[in-house]
Amino acid sequence: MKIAVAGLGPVGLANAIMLAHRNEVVAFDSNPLKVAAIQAGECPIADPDCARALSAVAAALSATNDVHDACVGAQFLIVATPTDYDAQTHAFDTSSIESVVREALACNPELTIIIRSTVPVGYTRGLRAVTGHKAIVPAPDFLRETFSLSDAMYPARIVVGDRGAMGESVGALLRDCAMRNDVPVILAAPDEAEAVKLFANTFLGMRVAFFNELDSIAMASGFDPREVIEGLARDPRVGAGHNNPSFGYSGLCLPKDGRQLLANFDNVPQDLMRAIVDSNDARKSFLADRIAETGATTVGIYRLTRSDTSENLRESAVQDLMEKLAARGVEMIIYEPVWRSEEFAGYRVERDFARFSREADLIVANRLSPELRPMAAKVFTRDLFGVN
Amino acid sequence: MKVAVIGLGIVALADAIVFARKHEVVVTGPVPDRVDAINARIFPLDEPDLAEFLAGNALNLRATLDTVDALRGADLVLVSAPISRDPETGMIRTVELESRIEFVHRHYPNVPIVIRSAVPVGFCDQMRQTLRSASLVYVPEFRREGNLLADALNPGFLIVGDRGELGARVGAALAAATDVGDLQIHRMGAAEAEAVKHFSQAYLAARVAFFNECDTFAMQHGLDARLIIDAVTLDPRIGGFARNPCFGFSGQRLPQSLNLLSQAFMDVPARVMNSVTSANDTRITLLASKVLEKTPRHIGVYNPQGTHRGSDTITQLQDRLRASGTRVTVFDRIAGQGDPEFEIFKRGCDVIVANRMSPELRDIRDKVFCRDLYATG
Repeated sequence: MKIAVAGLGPVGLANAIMLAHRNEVVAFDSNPLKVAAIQAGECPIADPDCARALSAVAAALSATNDVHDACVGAQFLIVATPTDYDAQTHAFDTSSIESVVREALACNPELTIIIRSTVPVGYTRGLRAVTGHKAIVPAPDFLRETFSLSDAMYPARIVVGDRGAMGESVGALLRDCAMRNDVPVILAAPDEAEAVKLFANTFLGMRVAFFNELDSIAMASGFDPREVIEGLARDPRVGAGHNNPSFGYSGLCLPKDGRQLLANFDNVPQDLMRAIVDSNDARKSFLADRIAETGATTVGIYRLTRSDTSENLRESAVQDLMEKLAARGVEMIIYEPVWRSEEFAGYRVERDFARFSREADLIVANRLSPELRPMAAKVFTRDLFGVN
Repeated sequence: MKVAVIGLGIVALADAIVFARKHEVVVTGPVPDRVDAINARIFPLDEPDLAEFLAGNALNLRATLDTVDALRGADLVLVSAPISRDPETGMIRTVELESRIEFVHRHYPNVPIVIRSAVPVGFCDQMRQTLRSASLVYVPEFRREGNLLADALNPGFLIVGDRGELGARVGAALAAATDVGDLQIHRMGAAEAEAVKHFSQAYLAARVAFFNECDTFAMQHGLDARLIIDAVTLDPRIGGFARNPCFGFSGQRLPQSLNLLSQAFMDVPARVMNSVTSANDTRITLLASKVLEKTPRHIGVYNPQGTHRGSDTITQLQDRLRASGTRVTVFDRIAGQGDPEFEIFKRGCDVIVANRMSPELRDIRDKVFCRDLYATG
C-alpha cells in the first residue's frame, strides 16, 4: 500500500519511518534540503534514533517536493505539518494543513487523510465542511521530542477521531506498524480525539508548573526543594518524572497546547486551565527578579536551547527569561555554539566558552551541564536532579 | 515499650491501634464519650474497617481522660490535635496542639514527641526553638480517606522530619509497628517533611480539579468525558488513578493544605496551586446551574457519607440549589435495604443529586444528577 506523508519534521519523519516498515511511503516537504537528505539516505533532522532507523527502511521510503508524485496512487495521506499558536488570533495557525489538504485532494480525491498535527478542538469537522471531503480523520500523535521514533513505534494508545469503518481502518494502519501488539485503539468523535491530545499535554504542563511553583515557594521560604520533591516521589499518587524544576515548561507542544486548550474552553467556566498557562510566565518573572537581585553586572545566558540534547531554539523558556531580564535592565551575553550569528535579540553571542565564562559574573542555565560544574558558585540554575 | 497517644481524632486512634498490637498503648484526650467507647472496644468514629479491627483483635490499649496517667513511663509520645482556621482572619490555629506539646515537654523533656497533625511549614522548628526541645519530631501520615486501616498497617513509605539520631530512632519505632518488613524510611528536615505533606495534598487536589475541568469541558461541548479521560490517562506519565470527576475535591485535608500553602506563600506567584480552590467554586456554580436547568420542583440531595465528614462540596452545592428558591431535601445517611424513608425521598424528588452513583439509586437512575463516570454501583 502507498502512503503519503506531508511534513518532514520530527512527527512526520517518525511516522514515515514507522509506516515504511510495512508500506511504501512517499514523504513530501516544501524544504528541498529535507527532501534531498531523505533521497540521499540521510536523516533530515538531528535525531540519532531516526538516523539509525532510516537505513533499515530506505527501500520503502522516498521523498519529493512534488505533492502530485506523493499523492497519486496513495491510499492514505498523513498530515504532520507544524501548527504554531498565533497569539493574535488565539488559535493554532493551521494554514499549512489546509493548503496541503487542498493540494493533495486536487491530485487524488480518493485519499483518506489522517491529521497527526495538533489542532484545535473542532478543527477536523470544519475542514471536512470547507473541503467537502468526508474522509479526514484526526489521529493525534503523542510523541516526545527526543523519543519521537520510539514513541511512534511503541505508543501507549492510538486515538482515532472516527467511530466508523474509516476510523477502524486508520486505527488498524497505525496499530499494525506499532511494535507492541496490545496497543489500545480508541475510536472517538473527531472533537474528542482532538481534545485528548490537548488535555494530555496540558496535564503534563500542569505537572511541570506544579513543581516549578513548589520550587519558587522553596526559594522564598528557605526549605530544601530537593528533599521535598524526592519525598513526594515516594508517594505513588505523585510519583517521579517531570519533577525537575526549570525556568518554565517549554518545548514545541506543552506551551502552545495549553494556550490552545484554554482558547477552546471559550465560555466554559474554568480556573485551573488559565492558571496553568499563566503559571509559566509568573515563574519566569519570579526568577528574573531573583537574578536581577543578585546585582550581577554581566549575566551570561548559557544556551538558548531547552537542553543539551535539543538543537531547537523555538519555544525555549530561557528566551522568555531573557526578555524579562532585559526589561529589568540586566546586561547579558550569550553562549550558544549552534547559533551562527554574532548577535541574538541584540545581545552578543560568544562561541568561546572560556571567554564567556570569564566575562559573565553570573551564568544562567536552565540545565546544568558538565562544563558548568567547575564554576558552580556563579551558576544560577534550578536544575536539581540533572535530568530534563 | 509504652506508647502514649494524645488526641482522639482519626489519626491518633489509627496510630493507637497500630501500636497496640505489639506495645502497651494509652490514648488520652478530653472527650469522655470517646474514652469510654474505646475502653469498651467500640470505635467512636464512622470508620467500619477500624471499628471491626478494634473489636476483633487483642490489643494492649486503654483510654483515659488523665493526661498525666497516659504519659507516665511512656517511651514514645504521639501528639495530634484539631487544626482549624479562624473564619474571621483566615489564620491557621494550632493553639490546642501547642498546649499539648508543651504539657508533654514540661513533664517529660527527654521522651521523643512525635507530631502527627498536618502542621504549617515551619511549625516544628519553631516549637523546638520556643521549648528548647531536642526531642520533638514531625512525622506526617499519608493515609487515604476510605483506606485508613490498610494504609496504617501497610504504608508504602515513611517520611520522618529529622535528619539525626532522633529521627532514626522514631522512624525505626514507627516502621516496626507496621506490617511492612522493610519499610523505606526517608529522613529529611522538619520543614521539608511538613512541606511534603501539604504539597502531596495540593498535587492531588490539582489533579482532581484538572479532571473536573476536563469533565466540565466535555459536558459543555457535548463530548464523551469518560472516553477523553480514559485516553488521556493511558499515558503512563499521567496514570489512571484519581481521575473520576466529582462535584469538587473534598475531605478535610485537601482544602486545608491548600489554605496553608497559599496563606504561607502569598507573595510567591503560585498560580496553579492558588487556582485549585477557585476552580472548585467555579465547578459548583456550574453544576448548580446544570441541575436548575432541569427546572426541578423538588431537589433531593443524597449524601450517604453524612455531613460530619467534611463533605463540604456537596454542602456547597446544596446551599446554591437552596438559594435558587427551589425546595431541597437532604438525605444524609446510608440508606438501608428497602428503607421506607429513602423510598419516600426517592419518589418525592424529581432530581436527585449525588456525588457518586450507588446501587440504591439504580432504580431511579434517570432522576439522578451525578458526574461519576466510573460508577461501579
